[in-house]
Order: sequence, then structure tokens, then C-alpha cells
Amino acid sequence: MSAFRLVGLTVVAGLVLTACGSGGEDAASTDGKVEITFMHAMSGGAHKPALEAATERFEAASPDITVNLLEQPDYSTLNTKLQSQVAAGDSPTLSQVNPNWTVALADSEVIVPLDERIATSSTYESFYQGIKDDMKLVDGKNWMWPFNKSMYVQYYNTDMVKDAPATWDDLESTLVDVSKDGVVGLSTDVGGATGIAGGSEMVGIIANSNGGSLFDAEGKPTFDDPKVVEALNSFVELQEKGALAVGKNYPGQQALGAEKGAFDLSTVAALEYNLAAIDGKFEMGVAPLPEGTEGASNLISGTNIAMFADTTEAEQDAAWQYLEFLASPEEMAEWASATGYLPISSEATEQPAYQEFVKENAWATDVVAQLDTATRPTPREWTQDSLNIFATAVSNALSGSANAADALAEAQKNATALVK
Amino acid sequence: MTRDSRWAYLFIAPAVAVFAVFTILPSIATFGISLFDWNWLNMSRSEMVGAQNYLDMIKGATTPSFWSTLATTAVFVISMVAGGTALGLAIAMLLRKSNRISMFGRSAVFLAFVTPQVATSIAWIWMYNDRFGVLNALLQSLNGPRIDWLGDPAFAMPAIVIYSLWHGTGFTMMIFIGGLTSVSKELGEAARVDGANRWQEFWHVTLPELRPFVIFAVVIATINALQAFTQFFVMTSGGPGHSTSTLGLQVYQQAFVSHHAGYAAALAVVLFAITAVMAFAQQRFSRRLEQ
Repeated sequence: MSAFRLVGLTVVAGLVLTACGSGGEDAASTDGKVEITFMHAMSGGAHKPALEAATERFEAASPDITVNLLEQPDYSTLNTKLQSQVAAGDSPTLSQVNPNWTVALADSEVIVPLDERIATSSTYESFYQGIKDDMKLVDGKNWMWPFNKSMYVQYYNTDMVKDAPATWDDLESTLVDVSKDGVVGLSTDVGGATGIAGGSEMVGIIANSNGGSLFDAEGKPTFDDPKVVEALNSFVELQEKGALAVGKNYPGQQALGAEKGAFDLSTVAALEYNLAAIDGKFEMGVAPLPEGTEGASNLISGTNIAMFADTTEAEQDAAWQYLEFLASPEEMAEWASATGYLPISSEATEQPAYQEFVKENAWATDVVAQLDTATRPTPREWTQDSLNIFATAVSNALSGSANAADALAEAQKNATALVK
Repeated sequence: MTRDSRWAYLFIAPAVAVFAVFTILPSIATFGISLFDWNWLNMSRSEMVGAQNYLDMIKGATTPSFWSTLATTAVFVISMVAGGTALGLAIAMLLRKSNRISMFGRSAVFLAFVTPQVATSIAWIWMYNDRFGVLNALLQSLNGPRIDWLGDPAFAMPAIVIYSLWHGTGFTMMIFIGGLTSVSKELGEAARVDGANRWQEFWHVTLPELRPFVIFAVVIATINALQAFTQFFVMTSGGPGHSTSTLGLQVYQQAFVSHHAGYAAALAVVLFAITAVMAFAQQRFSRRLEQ
């Protein structure tokens, strides 16, 4: 289907279905049973069975509530489908959301703030600080509830690299050393105009760990920050030395699995997929990201869950019970140990299921500890587009279309024009 | 209205209804939305802005600018129309006979057209992989250079054109094979008797006879190329930089990523207008040739 027709159909579906008044109907039946919907993109690997098992346990514990899981194949489709359904007046009760999407949803008043419910929450207080910060928008309200949280780690081939580099300088020299005989130290996807990807986020993380930042305290882009330019230049130099390759479709995982790459810098969510790609050919090491001159830095990744306004109070009450259940220490420990995502509370890390996981994955403890300090720029109206512009600048610099400073200066100009 | 025509209208009513709901109404709605700063998540928050979205387009206010995406689209359209038509015609000429080898060849070429574009785009990403891809392996076995097909701005568009030709040529070929069955054999024989060689016979006899089919193929290829989206979305996302950012991709980008539904609708209207004008111009050109 062409984009032209997609836009038109979305709009017409919205007009027609809204006119039909399908939204807001009470799904609670007279016998007190409530049916809610949860739109998600946990369709791959262990994610799907883990979510289905958790939902079955919830339904067994709450027999009056039925949760219909609305599965989407990936985040991009989820975002498009979610917008289409909301426009059509057919919002789900709950949906996974990237915090950057939430700005438009909150501004359009189609999701509800959760502050009143959080005030009575039995789990919220034990969340890590980084998780709590990631639930809010710039108005200070909690518009989201945490779900599948992740952060970047370094995966490496222990046959090529004995110990994980502790600093970014160490990593750069290691990448150059191992890049020979068809091996390129690091392969990464930098994303572009339709979405930022890991390689570009890594430039931001390196800059941040060296005292720079992609955004200032007011959320305005600072892409021409000397530390950001320096970080991007380090990537360009690595590429010139044959130690960094840019690709699409999980290039780091492909190269690591083919023993043609020494490192993959991805989030903890890639653990299961990297192990499958390696298929026992060598032992894969996992470690927290290297540190910069100002210490460790990481980016909170993964999604949260938002609750939609176009639902009845009974549905929202039932949805809140489901959210609290998913975030409970026992369930979060099950979820984290099954999927590799990070537990969102210290209590979850103490559960037997997660303790078992840590026995096999000792690196997890150090990564989880970063949940108190890791950040994500508080999303504003222009943040998503600005990040896409930044990813385009990284792409331009690495494809040789412009040098790093010029590409970032252009990105700064374009992103600043979006600030309102 | 006669009794027969009433029946005729009744029979076409379902098709007209489907066309109206899925094509005409969305097109009208899209034009309406292009006059608004449209919030489709909450329509009550939309504001009428008149022609502002169109003015922003003309001023090149977005990144990438409308003019830049138009130029990128033009490169793709010209490549697809010229390349697709020539390639489809050439393959049709090669496979025009109805023997087993030709039938197998036709099926093999047409098979690509019926494969899902998302799946085959992903397969081609692997084939284009600059380190592990089969295309570079082939090039290097011939002592050729290693090309970063999708990562080099100079090669990304040609790479997408090659994929799109692979995917779409089967349809064009079938149009020409259909056309070749209607070409008069007697005219060809007469030309040969008069001493024409194969090329002269093709150029002066076969091609003029195929003119309506060529025009049809060009119109369809133009429309398809103007509206191409999937391969750009999956294979490059418009990059590297904005080197493959076409109008079709920008409609999606502005609507679903940047939440500028009004501007996206204005882009869609312009894309529709360009498509209509080009189709109309090609039809006029065809009629003039016939006269």
C-alpha cells in the first residue's frame, strides 16, 4: 500500500469510526467481568511466550479480567497501528509506547496520567531512579508505566578479546588491533531520517561519558557540542582504519555471529539473539559499556506502557491491576530472567528467578546498577525529529558526504529550527 | 434509464462502492486535511491553516526539502520508466515463443513480481551487504571493487533501482508478451522479404505495432515509481543522509514519524497531482503519435 493511500485511509477510517461512536463503550459486562486490550510488539524470541505466560498468571489470579494481547511485529508497525486505531476512535486499553511517541499522545489528551494511581502503588517506590525519571514527560506528570527496559552493553568474542575494554580509548585501540584478516572490530546501524539506531545513540553515549550532551537542560539540541563532534570523529577515524563498518538489519549481530566482528554494542535485549547467532562457535563475553573521562554513561532504552483515555473506568481499573501485576517483583523477575530485559526494581533482583539468571550472567548486576544513573532525554515535541536529524548527520559523516563537524553543524541548525 | 442500464449500474455498484470508500473518499479527505495543522489523534485540536502547508513545501521548509525529495523521486521515476520498459520489452522479445524454455523463463521472471516486497527487500539487504553479501562476493571473484551498496550515497539509489527492476520487470514483460501476440506476422514477413534485418524489423514494424502497450507500460511504471515506498522504507529508510528520501517516503515520515499530518497530506496531494499530470501528458503524447 502506498503511503498516500495509507494516510487517506487512516483519516477516513478515523472520521467514519469516530462518527459511529465505537469508543468509550463499557466493556464491563453485568456479571462484573472486564475485558481489556494490550497492544504490544513483543513478538520475537522469548518475549512472546514470556508475556503470554505472565498474562495467563494474571488472568488466573484475577478471574474477572480478560487481557487480549494485540501483537504487532515490530515497534514501527506498533506506532503506525496505534496512531491509526486512536484516530479511528478504537484505542486499546493499554499499549507499549516509546517515550518519544508519548508527547503527541499526551498533548492530544488520548492517554491518561497515572499519578493518582501511582500514589497508591505497591511497587512504584522500589523502582530505580532512572526508571522513575523515564515515566515522566516534561510537565512532570507520570504518563507511562515501565515495562521492557534495557540498556546498552558490549558483547564480544572472547577468542578475539580477552577482557572487555574498560574505557572508550581502550575500546578504540582494541577495535583497531582486532581488525585484520577479514574481521572488522565493530559493525553498527546508525539509523537515519525515519529513526535513530544504536550506532548514533552510541555517539551520544560516548559524548555524554566524556562530559558532552546531545541536549541541554531545556531539551534544546546541542549536536555541535565539541564532545559530540569528538565522539563522531572517533567513529569516522575507526571507519577509516577499517575497524568500524556501518550496515542495516543488526549488522553487529551478523558480524559477531559470523566471527567477522569482535564486538556488538547493543542493548541487553539482544542477548538471546546474539547467542543464537553465535550458536556455540565461541564463548560470548558481556560487559557494561566502557567509561569515558567523566565516568560511565548509558541510555535507558526499551518501552513503557500508556493507558488510553477512550476507555471506561472499569477497564482502566482492570488495566491498572494488570500493570501493577507485571511490575510486581515476582513477575518482573520472571520477565527479566526469561527475556534478558532489566528488572525495574531492586526487589525484583532479589527474587529467586532473577538470582538464578545472575548466576549464569554475572555481568547483569553491574548493568542493573546503572539503572539509577542512566538517562534518556526527557522527550519534547521536537526530540524525536531532532534525534532523526542527528542520525542523518552521523550517517552523512560515516558515508563521507560531510565531515563530522559540518554534518553536526547542519544537524544543529535543522534541529534548532524545530524547537518551539 | 433503460432496464438494461439499470442492471448494469447494479452490477458495477459494489466495485464503485469499494472504489469510493477506499480511493475517492480518502483522496477528498486528504485534500481537506492538507489545509489544516491536523491532529488526527484528537481532531478537535486541528487548526485551519489554509495554504500554509503548500507554502512551506514551496519554501523548502522541512528537512529534507520538498525540492530535494522531488529531485530524488524524479531520478527513481526516470530510471524505472526507462529501465523497466526497455528491460521488460527486451525480455519479452527473448521469451516471445511459446516453447517450454520460454514458458519457464516467463514464470521465473514473473515470479519476482508476486513476491512480497517487504520480504524480498530484506533478502536484498543481505545480498547487498558490503561484507557478506553475494553481490560483492561475485564482484570480488571477478577482481571487482567492494561496494557499500546501501551505505554509499552514490550507490544507494542505483541499488534500489536494481531491486525494483528485478521486482517489477515481470509485470512489464507480461504486458509486452500480450502485445507481441497481437503484432501482425505478415508485416514482419513482408519486411524481411524486402530485406529488413532483425533490428530493422523490430524498430520499424514490431515497435510501432506495440505502441499502445508501450504507452500503457510507461504510464503504469510512472505511477508505480511515483508511489514507491516499501523498498525505500525497508532497505534504506531514505538514507544514507537523504540520498533515497522520495516523496512517497516523506509522506509516511511526516505523517507517522513527525506527526505533521497536514503537511503529509499536502505532500500526498502534490504527489497525486504529479501522477495525474504525468499520466495525462503521456496519454496526450500517445494520441499525438497515433495521429
